[in-house]
Amino acid sequence: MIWLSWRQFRAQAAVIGLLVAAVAVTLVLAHLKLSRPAAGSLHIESTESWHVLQLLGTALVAVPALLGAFCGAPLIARELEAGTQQLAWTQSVTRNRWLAVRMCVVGLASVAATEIFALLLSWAARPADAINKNLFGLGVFGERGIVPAGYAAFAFALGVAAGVIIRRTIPAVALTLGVFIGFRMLFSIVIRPLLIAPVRAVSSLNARAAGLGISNRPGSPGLHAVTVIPQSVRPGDWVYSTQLADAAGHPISNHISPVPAACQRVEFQRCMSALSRLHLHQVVTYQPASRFWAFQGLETAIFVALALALAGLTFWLVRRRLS
Amino acid sequence: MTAMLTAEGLGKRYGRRWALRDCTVTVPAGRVAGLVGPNGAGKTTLLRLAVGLLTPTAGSVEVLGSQPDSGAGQLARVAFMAQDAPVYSWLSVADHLKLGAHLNPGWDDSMAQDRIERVGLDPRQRAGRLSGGERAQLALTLALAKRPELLVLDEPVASLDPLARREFLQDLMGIVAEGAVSVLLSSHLVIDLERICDYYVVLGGSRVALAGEADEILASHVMLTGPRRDPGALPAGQELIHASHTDRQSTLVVRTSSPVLDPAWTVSKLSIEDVILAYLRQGNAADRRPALEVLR
Amino acid sequence: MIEFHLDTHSGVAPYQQLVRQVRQALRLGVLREGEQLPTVKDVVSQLAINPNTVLKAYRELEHADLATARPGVGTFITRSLADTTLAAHGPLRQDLERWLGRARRAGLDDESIEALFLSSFRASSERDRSEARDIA
Repeated sequence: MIWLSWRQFRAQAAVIGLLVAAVAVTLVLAHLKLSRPAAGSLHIESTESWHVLQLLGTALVAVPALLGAFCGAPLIARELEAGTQQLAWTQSVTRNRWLAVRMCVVGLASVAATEIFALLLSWAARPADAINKNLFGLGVFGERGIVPAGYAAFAFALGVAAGVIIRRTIPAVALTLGVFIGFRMLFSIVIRPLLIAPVRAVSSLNARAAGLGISNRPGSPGLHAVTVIPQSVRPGDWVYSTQLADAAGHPISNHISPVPAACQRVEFQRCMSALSRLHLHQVVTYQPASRFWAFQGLETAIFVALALALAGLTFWLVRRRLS
Repeated sequence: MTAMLTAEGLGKRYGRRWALRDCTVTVPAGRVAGLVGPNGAGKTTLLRLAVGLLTPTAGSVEVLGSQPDSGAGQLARVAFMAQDAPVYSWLSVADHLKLGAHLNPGWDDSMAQDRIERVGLDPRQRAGRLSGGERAQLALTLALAKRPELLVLDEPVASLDPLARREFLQDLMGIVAEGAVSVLLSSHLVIDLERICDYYVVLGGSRVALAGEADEILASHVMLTGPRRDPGALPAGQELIHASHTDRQSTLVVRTSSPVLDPAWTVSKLSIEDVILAYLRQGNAADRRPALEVLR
Repeated sequence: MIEFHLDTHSGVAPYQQLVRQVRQALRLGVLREGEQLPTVKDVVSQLAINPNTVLKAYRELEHADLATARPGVGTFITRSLADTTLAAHGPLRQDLERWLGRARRAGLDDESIEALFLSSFRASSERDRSEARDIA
């Protein structure tokens, strides 16, 4: 049974193995370059290694989707298409055991491959992450820590279930890709912010707190309004929103009108003093950087739970919806 | 001895269509039983129910005394060869034997290897490149090497050329001669079955039209030909199965337990195929309204 | 060793065909006393027929005291049918060939010859049987 699963996905396993090896080598080199930046290099974002990391990070987004589609969907769909389930399910192994072993072997292999990729990437990107401090960023959070394993488990279970429902490999592959990518995006943008209630902090803005900035409205002589550019509370925190508030804490518009005279004359220090006399406050809704692992854990748990639910559905379907 | 197959009111429905209905039959063990009927009559459905690939919508089925889905033990006693002998096209012949060895505790590997060699299969050949006859022989080997008590074969020779067909049946009968294995096979070609079956189950219109030992069927059915007359006037003990008339002549297929003595009829014997066709025509006639007579 | 063949269209039950072929072989001296009949497995492997058919045929031969089954070894012929009548075969065959020559010269085709022979044969057998009944 284990031998059969291995034989069936031998080709895919070889490809993935090669890719993981190639990725590992690339990442090791990138990490080495990043930790010892060449003399005279500018900001880290302009180095070639950083671009490589970005590229691999993007690739890692696709990895669970592809594994789910090309290892998960054919697992059962291909049997049903070829009619070989009539052979497989009449050997001396019960259907449940057959399904359980195949799902575990191939599923765990997919999860492991994805997670190895992610761990290598996290390790290689550590110098860059230390500088950018952007772990909650949309392009970063999903490619660090343990969530990639959760995505891989979910994508795989989704693929297998799609294969059982549709019973044909190619439509199941398409459905898996579509649903996974859609759900992943939905989760990252809409659901993740809701997982833990954010912290709401009110702090006063004065000339010493670096919370004010001035910008011109382009194309107009002089200033019409001052826009306060919010600064994040601390590097690494995940800011949902910032809002200007008056001395009583009521939110006001980020545009200040009328513009203080000093600001109209673009005298920075005087402008700052004028603005600080308005006793402005800033309300920041954010997640502290320390909650990174809590979010990782929650998101992984949710995706794994979904994977288990889909696996349960698959077992039920295989038992009830008999060829 | 436990029966090979016992079905009680067995039925299977897909949506609103009944693929098999009211199937009640007991097939004794130790036979080569032929399941016949036109395409769509429910033969494949009945066989799949017997091996646990399907669960009944109505009624029950027992195979060798146990439920088909009662676990690995039952699966080991029954071997199935599906229509068109599906095999894994990306596995070699030798790998298929390895698969069988891994998945069946009762696997007889030396018998499997011998058989592969004897039927002329190349162990390293990928199964996807085998001809229809070779695939059938591979599937039969996989079924036999697990040493089952019952072999269930769904149209095993339907897509084989005459030579491959004859070789397959020769092999099958050789195996039956050797050991205590019952066989249940389906075919829509009765001519193949007449040589090898000693028990028949005839399905018509998704129901059982006739079931019994081959000898008994042959002994209890006769063909009566005579001048045209209304077949309603048959004596007791004789049951009309099918009647056809021309303007001058009537031909009846009759089931009878005693010799027909009416001098007006010429009595002749029937082949199994003739009897089966008569029952299938009877089923068709009952389904169609108004009942049609076959006019020549 | 005798080799069997099956005529599926003859209307004669397969096991009876086998029995007849054995009897024929015995009469013609092809099979002799003490010789072994093919094993059930060999017969079914060659003809693709149900083993029970062969078993039935061999049992009937046993009942007719023509053969005996030795468990684990095979089925063997116990007596021959050729003894008394074999000697008469030669002259009878010659008579037949002469008669056939005359029938052909008279213009009869194969079908007519066969019909003539069979109807005479049947009529004669029927007469013999009714004589045997009258006597008994």
